[in-house]
This record gives sequence, C-alpha cells and structure tokens, in this order.
Amino acid sequence: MALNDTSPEQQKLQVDAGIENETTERSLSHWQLMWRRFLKHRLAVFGLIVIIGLYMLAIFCEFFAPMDPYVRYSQFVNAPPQRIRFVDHEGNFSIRPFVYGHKSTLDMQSFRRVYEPDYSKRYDLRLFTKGSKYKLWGFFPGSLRFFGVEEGGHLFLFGTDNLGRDVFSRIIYGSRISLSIGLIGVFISLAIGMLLGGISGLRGGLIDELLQRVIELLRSVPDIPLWMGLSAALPPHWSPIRVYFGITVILSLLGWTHVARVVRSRFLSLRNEEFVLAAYAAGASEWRIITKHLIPSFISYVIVSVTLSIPGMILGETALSFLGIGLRPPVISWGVLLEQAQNIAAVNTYPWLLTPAIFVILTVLSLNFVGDGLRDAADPYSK
Amino acid sequence: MVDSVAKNREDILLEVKGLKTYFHTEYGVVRAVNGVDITFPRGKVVGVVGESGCGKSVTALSIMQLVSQPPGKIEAGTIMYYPEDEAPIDILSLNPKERKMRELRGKELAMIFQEPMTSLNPIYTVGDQIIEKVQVHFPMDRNEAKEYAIDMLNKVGIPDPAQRVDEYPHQMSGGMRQRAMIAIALACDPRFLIADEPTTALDVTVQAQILILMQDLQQEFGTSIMLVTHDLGVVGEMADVVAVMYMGKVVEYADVQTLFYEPRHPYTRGLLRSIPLIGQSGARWLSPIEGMLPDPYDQIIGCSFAARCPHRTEQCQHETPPWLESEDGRGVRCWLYA
Amino acid sequence: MPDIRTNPDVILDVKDLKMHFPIYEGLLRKIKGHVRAVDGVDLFVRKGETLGVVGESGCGKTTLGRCILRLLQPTAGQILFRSVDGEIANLTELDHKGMKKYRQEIQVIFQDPFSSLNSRMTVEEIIAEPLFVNDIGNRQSRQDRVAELLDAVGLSRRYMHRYPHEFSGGQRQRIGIARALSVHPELIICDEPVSALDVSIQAQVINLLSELQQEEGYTYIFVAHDLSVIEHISHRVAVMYLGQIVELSETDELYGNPKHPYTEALMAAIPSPDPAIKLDRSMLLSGNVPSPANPPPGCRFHTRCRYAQEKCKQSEPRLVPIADGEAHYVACHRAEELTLRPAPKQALDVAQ
Repeated sequence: MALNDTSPEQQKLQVDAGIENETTERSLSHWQLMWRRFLKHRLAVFGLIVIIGLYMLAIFCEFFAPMDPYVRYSQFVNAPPQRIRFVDHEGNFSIRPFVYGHKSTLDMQSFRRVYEPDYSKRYDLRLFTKGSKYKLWGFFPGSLRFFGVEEGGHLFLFGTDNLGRDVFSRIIYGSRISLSIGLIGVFISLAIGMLLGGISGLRGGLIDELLQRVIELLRSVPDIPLWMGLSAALPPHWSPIRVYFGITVILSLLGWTHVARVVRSRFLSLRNEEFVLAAYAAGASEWRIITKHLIPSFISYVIVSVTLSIPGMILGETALSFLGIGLRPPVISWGVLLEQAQNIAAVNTYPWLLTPAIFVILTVLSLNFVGDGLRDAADPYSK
Repeated sequence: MVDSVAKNREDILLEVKGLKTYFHTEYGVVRAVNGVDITFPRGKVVGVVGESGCGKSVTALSIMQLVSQPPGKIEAGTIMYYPEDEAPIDILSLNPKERKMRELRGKELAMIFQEPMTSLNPIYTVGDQIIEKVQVHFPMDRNEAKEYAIDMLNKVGIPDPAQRVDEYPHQMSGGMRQRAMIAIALACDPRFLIADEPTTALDVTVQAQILILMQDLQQEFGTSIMLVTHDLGVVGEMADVVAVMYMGKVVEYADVQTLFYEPRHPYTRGLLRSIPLIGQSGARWLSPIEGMLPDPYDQIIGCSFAARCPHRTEQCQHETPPWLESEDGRGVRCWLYA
Repeated sequence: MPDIRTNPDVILDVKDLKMHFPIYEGLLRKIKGHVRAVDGVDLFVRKGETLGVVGESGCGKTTLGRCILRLLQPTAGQILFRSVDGEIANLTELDHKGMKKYRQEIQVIFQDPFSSLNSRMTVEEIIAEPLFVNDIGNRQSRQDRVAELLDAVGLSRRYMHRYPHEFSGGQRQRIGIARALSVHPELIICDEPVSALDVSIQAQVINLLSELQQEEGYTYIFVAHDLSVIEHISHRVAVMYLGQIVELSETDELYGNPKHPYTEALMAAIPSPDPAIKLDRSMLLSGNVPSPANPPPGCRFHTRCRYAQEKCKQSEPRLVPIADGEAHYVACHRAEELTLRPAPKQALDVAQ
C-alpha cells in the first residue's frame, strides 16, 4: 500500500459535506420527533381527540349536562330517549332543533308506562341556556348550561332510569368519577412503580430479588377477587369521597407492578449503555446520571405503559361498581349506572340504560389507540 | 489468472441482470438495489463486497426471493439459474411462496447468515433441522436421514457428531453453531450457496476455522458460493471473483488478483487504500475516502460516488456512468474508462 | 517492568490487577463462582504513546479498560496513575469523591456510535457534559470550548444544537471523541473506537486519533480485536488471553518476532486482503476459548497450544522480559526455545 502522507486536514473538510446543505441550525428534539411520529398515527390522533373531549366533559360536567342528574321526574319513569327533530309532525322545517315532550299512558296488559311524543309540547334546543342551578366543582354557583331546553321543559337524550332521572346527564356526571379514578390511580401506581422499580433496578442485589418476588406474587393473584376482597373490607360507614379514594388505592395496588417492571428493566439495560458509562467517566454524580440520563431515556416508555394502564383502571372501577362493591349511589359513576342495567328484563325493555357501556368502550378503545400511537412514536431509532 | 471470470455460457451457474429491489417506507423510497448485474461462474466463490447500505445483502435476499414484501419489492430484472441438465429458470418469474420456488430454495440454492443463533430454530435440535430439510427434498426414512445428519455434522468438523446431533443450538458455541448452520445449508447438496457475512460475528481464530472449512467443503461439493461481506480480508482469502458494490450498484467486477492488484474504480482503490495492512508500519496516515455515505433516501443523479471521488468531472455529476466490460470479463462502472 | 515511581515517563502502572465478577445462584443469591474477567494483569503505559490491547472476545480487554476508568471496582491489584501535577495515586483505593479529580485526566471513547451518545441531549450538551459536571468555566466559555472541539474533530460548529440522531456513525464517533477531549485528559481509553464503522470511515477516525496525538500529546490505551488496526496505531501492543496478558512488546517486535504461541496463532488467523497470502492450515487453533469462569490450570493457553508440554499443564508462566531486553515481555515456559512465525507482510500497492 502506498504510504500516503496527505494530511488529514484536507480530509476533514470533506467530512461535513453530507449535511452541509441543510440550513437549519436547530434540529428537532426527541419530544418533537416523537410528536411528529405520533401525528402520523391516525387512529391515535383520533383517540387523543376523543379522550380530550371526554375529559373536558368530565371536568365541566355541570356545564355540559343539560339536566340535573339527581332530580327525579316521577311522571317520566323509564322514559325512552327523545328524538331531536328538525321537522315537526306537520312537516314544517325548522332550523332550530327541538324535541317533543313525552306523554304517557299505562298499558293495561303489561302494566308498563308507554310513552308517546306529545305534539303539543315542543321544546326548542338552545345553546348556553339557563338551566337548573348547580355548583361548579361544588364551589361556584351557576346555572348556565352548554345546551338545553327552556325552563319547564325536559330533555332526555338517552331516556330516563327507573327513578325518572336523565341518563345522558348522569353519564356526563359519571365520567368525572370514572375518568378521574383511572388518572389518579395511574398516578399513584406511577409514583410507587417508579420508586420501587428504580430502587430495584439501581440497587439490584437482595432488594431487587425481594421486590421481584413481591411483584410476581401480586401479579399471580387474579384481579377481580382481590379487588372484591379489598373493597369488601372498606368500612360501610365511609363517606362516598373516602370510598372513592379507597377504590383508587385498591386499583393502583396492582397497577404499580407493571410500571415497576418497566422502570426496573430500563434501568438495568440503560445502566450499561455507553453514554451512561461516559457520564460516569466524566465524573457525573449518581443523581445527575439518574435525572439527566436515565429518566429522560425511559420516561417515554413509562408514559406509554401508563397510558395503556388507564383503561384497566377504568374497567376495574366499572367492574367493582357493577358488582355492587365499589362505589354506591348516590355517587354517580359509569359502573354505578351500569349496575342498574343488570336486570335482563330491564335491558330488554329499557335498552337505553346500557348507553354508559358505549362510553366505557369508547374511552377504553381511544386510550388504547393513543397508547399504541405513543409506543410506536417512542422508539427514537425507528427512522 | 483471469480464467475465474466466466466467458462461456456453460460456465455460468447464475446470472443477475438489471436487478432492482426497492423498499417503500413511510419516509420515502430506498433504492437498495438499483440495477445490479453479477455473473456467478460454476464452482467459484464470488465475493460481493461493500459498505453498509450498499445493497449486497438485499441482492442476496432477492436471489433467494426472501425480501420481505412489503416494504420491499423487486421492481425489475432477471435472475437466470442454469441447472446442469435442465432448462434455465428465471427465479424472479416464480412465485416466492409456490412449490417450485420452495423446491429450488433449500435444495438448489441455500443460504447461511451472519448470526447463527437467530437463524437456527431454538426449539429443535440441530439434527432435527437437518433431518426435516433432507426429508422434504429426498425420499429417506427418519433413520437414514439421521445417519445422514450425523455424517453432515462430521463433515463440517463438529466433534462427537453422534451426540451433537441431539443438541439444541443454545448448547453450542458460536463457532459450532456456524458449523451447524453450514451443515444444514449444505445438507441437500445445493449448487449455489449464499453466505451473508458468515464470519462477522466470530472471533478471528474461529473465523479462520470457518473460512478453511468453507474452502474445503467448496472443493468437495463443487458448490458455487456468493460470499457477501464487508471484510476485504475475507474476500482476499476466499474469493475467486469479486464484485464491489456501492449505493445499490456494482461498480467493479474482476477476478480477485486483478481487483486487488490493479483496481480500476476510484471507490475500489479508495477502499483498498483505507485499510491498514500488516507489515506496513511506519505508514503514519491511512488514505480514507473523503466524505461519507449518501443518505439512502436520496436519489442520486449521475455517478453515485461522484461526491466522494477524487477524479470526478462535470460529466460524473450529471450522467450515470455505463457498465464497461472488457474482453477478459472484468467490468467497471466509471467514466474514467469510457 | 519499569516502575512508575522511578520512571518519570511512565504515566500508568497496573500491578497484578484482578476483576472477578461473582456468579450468583438461587433465591438467596449464594455465590457459586467467579468470572475471572481480568486475572492478574501487569502493564505500564508511557506518556504520549499508544498501547494497543488486543484479544478475542471474552479475553478481558474491555473490562481492563473499565477498571482503569474506575467504572468498575477491581477485586485486587493496583492502578498507579501519574497526575499532571506529578502526584502518583493508586486509583483502586479511591472512592467516588476521590476519583473525581482524576476523571478529568482519564477519559474514554466507546465503540458504539449509537449508544455512546445520549439521544435526548444536543451535541453541545453532550460535549460539554464533562466540563459541566466538573464545574469548569461558565456557560459561555463552555460553548466556546465546544466550538473549538468541533473544529478539532472536523465537524462544523453549526451542528452544536443538533441531536445525535441526525449524524452518521463516523460523525457520532467524532462527537464522542470531542467529549473525551473536552477536559484536556492525559490518558484516553479507546474501547474499540472504530470497529462499528464502515471501512472508509474507519480510516478517517484512525487518522483523526493519530493527528490529535501528534498535536496534543495524548496517551492512548487502544483496545481492539482487529490486529491490523492495532498494528497501525500502536507503539506497543499487549496481547490478552483469558484475563491475562500473554505478551507485551513494541509493535514491530511483536509482529515481526512473536514469542508467545497464542500471538503467533492470532496473527496467522488474520484473513489477508492480499490474495497472495492464504491462511495456513497448520497454524489453525482448534476449539474455542475456555470459559473465564473456569480457566484451565497451568498455562491458560495449553489446551489449544500446539507447543504445549507437561510443564505447561502444571505451572502458570509469569509475564517476564525475554533475555535480550527490557522491552519484550512474554508469559510462556518455552518462549526462549521456540522460534515462531511472524505475521505475514501484506502488500497492495494501490496508486492514486
């Protein structure tokens, strides 16, 4: 081989040629890239929009619910949903949607009330109407509703239940409990999981071994019986708020194991990555390595796993309440609402009592789509 | 020297012409193989050499019709296979999933991979994997097939083949696994063997064992080998003929002596100058090729090596250089020789 | 071997270094054995030179580097290091705090250009990290230093705010080199810095390392498995086998006059780009490297050595200088009597 004495100086100048023509000085960070990849996932974006919408409903449920969910309209027990109409019974078109009131007759054979539209009672739907009074988040009095009918009218979009309460408004109120229980539960399990998984992965040794066994033990117990046992142990005289937190804690008791596993395995695999070793070799402290190198490297995976575990929590609450051992009336949650639809006969004659299930499914599906999208977006080298 | 390169039709076992294999990803089209012509003479070892992303492995997978579709797609070209006493077959005209192709694959064409652990099935013993393959292609009962498997393991230099035949891949060392994989590949006495970086994952002393084993088996079975590698040392040791690839194209094709002693294409010369050679100490600097490999998503106008080439002219940057073949069978894709 | 205390040109002196990793078993984590990754290594490094460390996978060369960097706490032995201020410290005795002073003087370049850079940090943050964690300079001076380093490794200053995923393997390796240089180290451990790179890029990085050494006088310990690269870059070479150094010598002497049968076999196993040189079947090593958890008694190489005799199975040879000089050390009972084959000289004359 020819002994070549070309100084590397000249060679160096050529090295940059590859990306020289790009003019942007700042490039996209990991999070920006992740967001871009996420946006390419159509179902995930759709899911995200649905989820944001549902959480908005939950946060401002007093504003969005057209009726007071606790008021019993005793003359409209088990009433079917009202149709929103643009054309009246005489064929006249109206730009403003409206509903007809119900009138009921008693069927003398089945002793059931049969409802028919009462064409004499027409209620126009209005945006930002004044409805019955409420207290937003229990503090701020108000009466403005997103939409509704004028005073004295009634609007049962999804019908009423056996006490004559508006199912639609109850679903919206129920979303506050059902959706927040998933979120709070997930944050509790995230905190426990990060802490224990972190200790396990960083310290290793006997502590790790013990925690792993505990996790295996917890995961080997079937969820529902464990939850049932624990929630049966909640004192019956507890206030609804305490029961709510009790249930949340019960749900996160199993949820943390998943997060802990993710965190532990990430710590273990990242600890020997060369960039972490390089930081050690530079003299970085343990704290800096954990906060600057390790956590940012796996936090996206944790977010994915957390997103994917919210549906489990929501379903857990729904299942417990459905079985009558979770939240109890007068608290409104989707599970509590579905409990009332347990009776086959009821479902057969009053199918609208099942509408809360549609919301549960929609939420769970959307969260799963979002989780999938995040997971696909989280891999930094998938280009 | 030059007789390694096939000149007569009868000397050719397999001929790739105008092969284009593209990958349609969400970020754009990667033209992994972009018009490759390679001739594989009977009974010779053809080294296909190039850097990462040059398309050497995709060429190999295309010959086996093992490119995963989608995202991959063979867009154009012919791959003519000339069996000794049958009509020629265009491999690309066969449906990759149909019987004819499956028969060809395994019996006539075989492949060994870089990482034996991932290409051996971990849930079957090595013997089972040979037996299964042999029984698909030959009428043998299980006992005969097992005898045959032991014989094959013996041939690839696995000690105690009668016991090893019942071992699982994970019970073997890296070198032994690579031998086992060679045994499986050669079980049906294929005419054409593709070895894709067969020794890259191995240590240098084990690599030497495997290279010598491959040379011996090639002599014994008369198999033609396509040796895909990035290691110029492995090519220098093994190959009779060498094809140098860059950015999805063959840029030079010649027998090994000619290629290493009188390289023509500036890329080939650059590669040879940039490797450190033993016994040349005192050489203070290596002569690297300038710049870096182009982005695989870019579509390059003109010669794909022009940006890094010390001899580039205006023409190189605008017109794709033609494939120039001399009478002795060597070829080069460069305007310098036009 | 020259002692660091009496030889002012020696910067690092490793004495009988051992790194044994325990193998645990069962729920109670009983120790059932040890992987003797590094098992009694002696070596020294002179200021401004490159010491190549070569061996097959599992020979302990990477572990040796990580012990010197004190990313690992060695089981036994000494690592004596001469600091810029002339003080000699035994790194094995230092804790995290005590090491901090020396971390700036001993830096590292890793193999994998992808995992060695934190993909969440910009190029500037990555290169300035050693400065930042050691509280050197302020924000502005660190930025100036990063710009200077990017120049030095042949990258444009404009890349400072970019993220690693936008760079090719060779460019990333340059970023890794810039990070190592940021604190003006004395000694740089290069752990297979070019083995993940393409051939044409490999040469660029090797040249860069040589050039930096020439200009700044860095001392390198260059760990690699590729004998050609090692020969090209090293002034002296240590050959490792199963956790021990079997031969240590000037590069030319080692390749031209190997004294250990393992060195001979290793060099004979290199496939040559020069088609005139073919592998010599008679020199093939049989079998595989034994497990470092259970190394053979006596000379560790005797199970594969073609010259092994009875005494090789009984007693372990020590690394000693051979008769004709202080520069060539070998651990073989038969070193004096054997005549071994040098590495074949490869020749390709490729004109420009």
